[in-house]
Amino acid sequence: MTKISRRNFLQTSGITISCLVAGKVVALSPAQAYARELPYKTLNLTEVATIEALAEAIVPGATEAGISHYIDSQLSVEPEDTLLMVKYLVPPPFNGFYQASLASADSMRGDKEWGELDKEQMTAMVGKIATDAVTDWQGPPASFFYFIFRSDAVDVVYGTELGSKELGIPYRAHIMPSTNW
Amino acid sequence: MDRIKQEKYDLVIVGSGASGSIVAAKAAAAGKKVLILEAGPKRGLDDLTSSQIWARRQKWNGAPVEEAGSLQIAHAFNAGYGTGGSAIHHYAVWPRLHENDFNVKSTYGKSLDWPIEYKDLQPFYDQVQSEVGISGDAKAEKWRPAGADYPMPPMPIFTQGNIIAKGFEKMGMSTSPIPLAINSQPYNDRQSCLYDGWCDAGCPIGALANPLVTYLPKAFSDGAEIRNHATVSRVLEDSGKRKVSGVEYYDAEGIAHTVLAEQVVLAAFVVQNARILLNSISARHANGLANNNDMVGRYLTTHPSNYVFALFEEETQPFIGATGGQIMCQDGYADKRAIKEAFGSYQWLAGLAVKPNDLLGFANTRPDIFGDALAPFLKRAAKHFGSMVCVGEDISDPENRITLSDSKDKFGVPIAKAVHNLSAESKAMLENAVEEGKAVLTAAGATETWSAAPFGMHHVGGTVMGTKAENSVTDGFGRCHELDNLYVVGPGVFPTTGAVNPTFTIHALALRTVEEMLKAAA
Repeated sequence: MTKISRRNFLQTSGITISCLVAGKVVALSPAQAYARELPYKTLNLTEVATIEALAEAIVPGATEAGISHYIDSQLSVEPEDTLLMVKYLVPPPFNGFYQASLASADSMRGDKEWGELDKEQMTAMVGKIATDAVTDWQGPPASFFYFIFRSDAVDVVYGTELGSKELGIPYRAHIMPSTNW
Repeated sequence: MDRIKQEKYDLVIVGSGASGSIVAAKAAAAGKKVLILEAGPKRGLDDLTSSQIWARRQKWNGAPVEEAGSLQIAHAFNAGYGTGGSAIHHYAVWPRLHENDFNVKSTYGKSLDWPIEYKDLQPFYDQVQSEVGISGDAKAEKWRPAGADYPMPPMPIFTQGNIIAKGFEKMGMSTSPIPLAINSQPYNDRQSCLYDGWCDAGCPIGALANPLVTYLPKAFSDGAEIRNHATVSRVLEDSGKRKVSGVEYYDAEGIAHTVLAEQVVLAAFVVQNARILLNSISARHANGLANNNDMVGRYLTTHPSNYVFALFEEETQPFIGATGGQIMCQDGYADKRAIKEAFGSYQWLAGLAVKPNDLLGFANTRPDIFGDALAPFLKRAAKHFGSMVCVGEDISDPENRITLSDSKDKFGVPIAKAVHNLSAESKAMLENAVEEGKAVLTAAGATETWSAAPFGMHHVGGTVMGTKAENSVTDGFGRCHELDNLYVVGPGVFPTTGAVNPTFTIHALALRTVEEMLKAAA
């Protein structure tokens, strides 16, 4: 099986987002945007921290793959242009779906920072979200949010040519994804 | 909104998908001045990027559809957007309806009858099959109704298909290669398939029969025009007559236009066709055009469907082949009442090529797996996965319907609401099928099997054809009972769903419609 280095990931990730860098709009992969700590267009830092903590607990590798910049970029465009899977299942606009769910998830950590929660605590928290076992959850059903959010994280980690390599299967593209979208 | 110039065409077609494209091609070839109005953007083969993420651009992006009911039709997933419509991302599974799908009401006392029979449609199936090309093995399809042999040999059966076929065999069931509108060899200047499983993302090499490589090029070469980002809001009645005069549409800037036409064809798929008719209010048609009997929007159906999945010890190569699958079993088709307290034919499609991500990716078959357990599951599934999908027949129910919402789109036009509930008999049919499917996979050697929740595959009905205005929207040619020059094509005119994928039938019916239209115009 091919071991994917961070350098390789930055070179080959198939998802790109438009970012403003030094006054110019450039296409970067979510991982590149994450690595450069580029600012967010729609999400606030609390939401970003929640996304990264949850995504990493659900799909390890999602944070470095750029899950927060992926979701942020797709919530920043017109709903008809978004590439998030949520568009199949929820009427637009989609920001409210994420913001309400992320706020509910964030409230689950209490007084602790995300980084203070160990793996066992994060696993328990995700398990509650996935099974609608969270009291006082606001927004769309917790399990529905989990399904969508997990798919987003799978997108950035395994939905690319590099993700296929990680799984040991050929990507076999007819047309590789463009970097200009 | 400003209204600008009026134009005049022989024929205006609303929608550029499977049905609209064949109507456009045949009418243009007959010398008609044809205009296609397409709500979505322009698309070409170069836009069909091999990515399940990018492929989401091709799904519905127009006005939202409000959904309700116990088995919703998943409009935004099933419907397409842009040149070629839903057929851009269709899987090219092209079996024919069976004879017993056309007289369900007469035979079983439920659902509906068609105003035509299989023999009326057979020559059109045969013609489309020859023009487009289908790969299959007619002799192996022991359930197949009469028709010409396929023009191409079947697609190859790969490891996953062969493994699952053994399971069917051990269960005493029959299989055949799936008839696929995908080239197993070069055909009509289109190359053959590379078996890479990107059908859902759209086939850019032209092996899969989508409108970009079948009927749209013919239409354009014969002078048909297409206008993208043209969202039709209503059909205009020719006051005082049993006719329509044209359509109104909004362009991307929100400017309203009027196009006049001798004939109008609605080919905007199930929900939007009904929505346009319901929004086309006039003095004589206070409830919308062709709706004096409150039939528009009724009998909304889908294929109640369910997946079963498995893992095998041996490698299955589930990434190879067509998204629609490799083998088919229609043993459950002939007797719609074969199962106690259940109703409906069903078919199995097995050996589907899968990708890791997206709604139908193998990662989402086990949403309960996360964290450290996820990567090991995905790595195993990537090479050892097997899947089958049961495509079931729906029961046509007038209470499953499309209506107008109180909400409006960005042009101020009411959006559609689609309600679809699953009947107890259809639910029982699916439950039985899931158990059968798991047994097949176990017999094939699966080490574990599981299933997903039922879902609605394909959109059907809403503007059904029938014998009279009191029981239907159109006649057997898709012509609205109440308006002599307004036609509806696509799966919306099907009175019943059958249990086969609809795109072949969509083409055959639309071909029959356009031939009738050309006669009427003459």
